[in-house]
Amino acid sequence: MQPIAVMSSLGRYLMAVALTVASALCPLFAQAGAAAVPASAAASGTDVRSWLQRIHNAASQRNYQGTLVVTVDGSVSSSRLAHYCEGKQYFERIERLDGRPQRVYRHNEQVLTLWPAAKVARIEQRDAVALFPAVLSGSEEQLFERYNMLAEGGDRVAGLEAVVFLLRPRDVHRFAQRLWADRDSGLLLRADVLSPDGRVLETAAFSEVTIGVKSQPESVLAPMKKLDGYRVLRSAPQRTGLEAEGWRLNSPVAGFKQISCVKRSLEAAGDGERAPSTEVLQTIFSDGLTHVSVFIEPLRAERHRAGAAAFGATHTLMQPLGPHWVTVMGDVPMATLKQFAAALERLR
Amino acid sequence: MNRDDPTHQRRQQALSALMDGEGAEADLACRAWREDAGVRADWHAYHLIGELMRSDDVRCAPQHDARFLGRLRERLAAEPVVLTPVSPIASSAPLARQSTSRRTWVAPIAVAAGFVAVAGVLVVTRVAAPDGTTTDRSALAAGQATASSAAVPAAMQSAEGRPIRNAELDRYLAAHKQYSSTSVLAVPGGMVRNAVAAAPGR
Repeated sequence: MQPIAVMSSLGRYLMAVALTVASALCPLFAQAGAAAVPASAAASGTDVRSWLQRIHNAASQRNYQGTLVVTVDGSVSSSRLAHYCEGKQYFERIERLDGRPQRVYRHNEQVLTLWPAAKVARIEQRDAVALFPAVLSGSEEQLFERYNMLAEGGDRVAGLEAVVFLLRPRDVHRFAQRLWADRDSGLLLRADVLSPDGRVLETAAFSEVTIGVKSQPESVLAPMKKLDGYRVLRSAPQRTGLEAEGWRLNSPVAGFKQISCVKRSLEAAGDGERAPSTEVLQTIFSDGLTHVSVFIEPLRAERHRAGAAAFGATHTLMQPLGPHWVTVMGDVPMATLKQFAAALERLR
Repeated sequence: MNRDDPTHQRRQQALSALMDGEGAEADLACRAWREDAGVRADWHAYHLIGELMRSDDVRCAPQHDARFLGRLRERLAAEPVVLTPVSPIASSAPLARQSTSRRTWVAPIAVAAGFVAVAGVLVVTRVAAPDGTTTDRSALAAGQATASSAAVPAAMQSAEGRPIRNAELDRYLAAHKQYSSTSVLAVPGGMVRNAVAAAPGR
């Protein structure tokens, strides 16, 4: 009965799907059952964990293209995505299909965003940590300290057979995620962020995808060189340290480790005629699955309003701290953001 | 009207407060809006200024708003008033009196309706300006404005009960989402989520 107990959370239709493919999924069912029995049970066995590794590798090392549909608070937007990997080089092309045209080209840490209608281009040198998750060694261990990974059977996404997993948090400081991974390649086909009461806060899913396409780096590189007629804005975050900037968290927030700290301008350089570009200190904390940004900047009373907001899974808390203004943002419950804000302290 | 006139200043302050979601002097602001074409122009100008300050791009020409408002007012004026409540006193009164009584009812209701609709419209144009993706959020914001003091969607409400302006937040969101791929999962299109959720629309 254990497998059934696990499946019940998925809803009936999924259970039916799962049962029809049950024979193919026997090992996974056993896994799910085992994980669900005692709360302390060492979560997920190596089998489930190896899936996480597969998902991780597939996303960066496979060549694929498809249409990704993101649903946040009932707002749907889709993008055409192509990803190529050649050795240690990554190429990505993203074209927004709804609303105002926007295209993003990425070659390793260089990211070019084009707004063809406005003839504006922005070139960003991304923080390397944001692009090479491999440097985050140990983050997988960190993840399993905070989440249980449960196998939930099979499903179909974008015409492909998918294996479903639930990453269930072990505490109240983070959200659960349900993942659909391609059975063959491991590519993540769909990811849902779930509220504690099981509501879907955000969904990102391929509506169609081709895995194993021919690598076409030129289709990314060529447009990155053609910027004639575009107004080009450049920005590059500057690495620094929270303590070096005179700040610290006086008590750590459970499970979150600082992974980066940068000084950046929130408005791209050269846009000064509209709004003065604000330099902010952004510190990023990760629990292996999700991350929280803490932004610190000088308080400007005429512009800053204390408050909180939520959009999909992304929550935001804004409040003054002495002569400073603090914005904490992350795909975590508001209470977690409050912990960050409360722990932040000026050293000098 | 003299711009230094204290009444005028007070009206402007009330208008500005109303824009920020503070309803303390909403009556004053609404009355001013109804009576004074200058105040209506200020209301529009404030939103335009706000939009310029908060967003990186103003997508639609201000004349468009003005034309829309003009048409809206004409249509409202031409609208037959079928739902106007006729008070028992009025209906038992002579015909002439009834008609004046109806007029006094109609004007404020029509103006109030126009006001609410205008507030909604302005929020839509303002929030939707930075890029197409925020349209749904703007719909939410419009909902707030239309619903006025009534049910404001909890998700969009600030701790102080004031709605947060999204164009401002989008800058932070864009910076935040750049780190989406730090997740062990490195969701394909982590950047897409970034692009979708927080594209700063320059």
